[in-house]
Amino acid sequence: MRFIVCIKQVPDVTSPLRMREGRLDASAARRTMNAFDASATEGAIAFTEKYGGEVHAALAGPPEAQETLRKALAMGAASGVRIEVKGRGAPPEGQACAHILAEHFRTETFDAILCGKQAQDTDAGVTPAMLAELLGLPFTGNAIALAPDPDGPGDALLVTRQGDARQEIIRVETPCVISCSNNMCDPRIPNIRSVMRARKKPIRVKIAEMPVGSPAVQVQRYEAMPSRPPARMLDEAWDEALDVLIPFVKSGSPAA
Amino acid sequence: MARLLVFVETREGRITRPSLEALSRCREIGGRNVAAAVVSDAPDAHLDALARYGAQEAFVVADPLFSAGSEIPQNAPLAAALECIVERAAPDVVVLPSGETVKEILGALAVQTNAPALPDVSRFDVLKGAVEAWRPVFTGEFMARVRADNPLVLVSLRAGAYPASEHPGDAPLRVRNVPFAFDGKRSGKTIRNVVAAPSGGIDLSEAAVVVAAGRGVRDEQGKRLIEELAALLGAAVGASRGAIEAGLFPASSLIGQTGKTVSPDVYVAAGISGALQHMAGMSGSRTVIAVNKDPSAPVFRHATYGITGDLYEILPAWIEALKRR
Repeated sequence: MRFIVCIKQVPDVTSPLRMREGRLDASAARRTMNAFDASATEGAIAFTEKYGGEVHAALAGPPEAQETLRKALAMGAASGVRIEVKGRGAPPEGQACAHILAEHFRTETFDAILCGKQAQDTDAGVTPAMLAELLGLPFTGNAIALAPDPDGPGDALLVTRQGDARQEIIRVETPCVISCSNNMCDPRIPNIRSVMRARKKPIRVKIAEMPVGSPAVQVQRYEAMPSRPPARMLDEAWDEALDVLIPFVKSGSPAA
Repeated sequence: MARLLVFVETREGRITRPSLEALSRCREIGGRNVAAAVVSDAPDAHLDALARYGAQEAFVVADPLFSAGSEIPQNAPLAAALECIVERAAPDVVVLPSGETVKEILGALAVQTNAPALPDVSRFDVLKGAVEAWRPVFTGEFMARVRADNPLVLVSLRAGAYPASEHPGDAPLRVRNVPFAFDGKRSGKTIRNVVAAPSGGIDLSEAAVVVAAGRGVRDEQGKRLIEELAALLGAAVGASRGAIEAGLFPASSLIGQTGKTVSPDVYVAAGISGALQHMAGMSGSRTVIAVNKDPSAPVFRHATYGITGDLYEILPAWIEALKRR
């Protein structure tokens, strides 16, 4: 199985992000691989270690994002592509990004494209399904497990998907696009030897045009989350909290 | 005035609560210009409810493909059915209840209809033909005000963002059947197996009260306490990632950035430390009661009431006290 993992560099959500006059300043923030993409990378690498195959990584972003691509190589990907989007300005939003990636993948060979289910900065999660639609490939979202499909016809993956009320084990014909939950696996932390080896692995740089005419979403401004008033700490006088619950107590004897 | 179309999701023979919330919000914005999109193997059963919640028109795709036992995964046919409905209904805005089903199709529908998508918004309005919305970003650390100005805009709305309220229109519901055909082979996918959640539980996105377990719930005994309190309150049981990793709760009960978003009247957080990723899924709760051993646990920053102590002592006392009252 030949996997290509799409990864994104994001500001670390736990590092200082400042807000001024409705704008978000992430310049002081540490930058890191989107955690969901790390799970997708780990999922693909663990799969190939068990069943054979290879993993490659693709990232759209500026030169500074190359270190995130190196991280995927250190985790075990064989090669990487960085797609440099021409023109300075705001990074492409979801749909523009899907067009850029689709354009790239039209000339690539793969069995499965794996993506994280969303990015930690925008928390949108629309790009993977858009990419699949643009490429005309089957798509499954929120995968929590991947396995080979031993039975034909044709080549396929068995993908376990967490839905709203149930899990489905789905046979997905390859080539396909899958978005991965971080509940799929815990990404490995590469050791020094893997990091050294990754320095020798090839990274290709490709220039892409900003797609024209893809429908735009503008971010107008940011605000801090409205904060709650401080909690009333009740210690042992719980009555106040219990009073909140009383109206919901079911009449009759509840099922234990 | 803007024409709004609401995708009304059905599960186990009922319209889901977040769908009714979306319908109610659209009625506030669009008045009479609200239509519902129903995609089901048996759509007729839902039409009365749509009229009660103020839909003026229902666009219906009826197909056995959408039965609960269908072996075709629902995302590809559902996106195709909605595309047919959007073409027929020609709305200005499509509103969908956010959840795993909608997350899986929103991107495809945006490409098919060449429309911008505003996913997972917690507030939205239609102003001068453009959709303006607030959506939590950066794991719920910030809110982004976003705007999409296009003849068609897609919006997915977080559960609990607006109340669901009945408001029947004065004219009977107009029902439009939309022709639909889907070649199951084309989807490239078949369901091999389904692992269903234990039945009889209360759906997290529908519950007025949620009792959620964290890493502090260590064993079967703790799990029983959570379940007993939930049963007493008619509450749904939720869990943080820690409690699920411990193998005590099913993955479908995960609340947080990667799981479900809940906004109940009361959220009881038992043994939950309050990691950002978890809080992102429950920040819309009206009253939060948090129990944790650690007085400095971040969960208390999000709580209305905080109780420092051992849940193994506190929950049994609560259960007793609530039974007595």
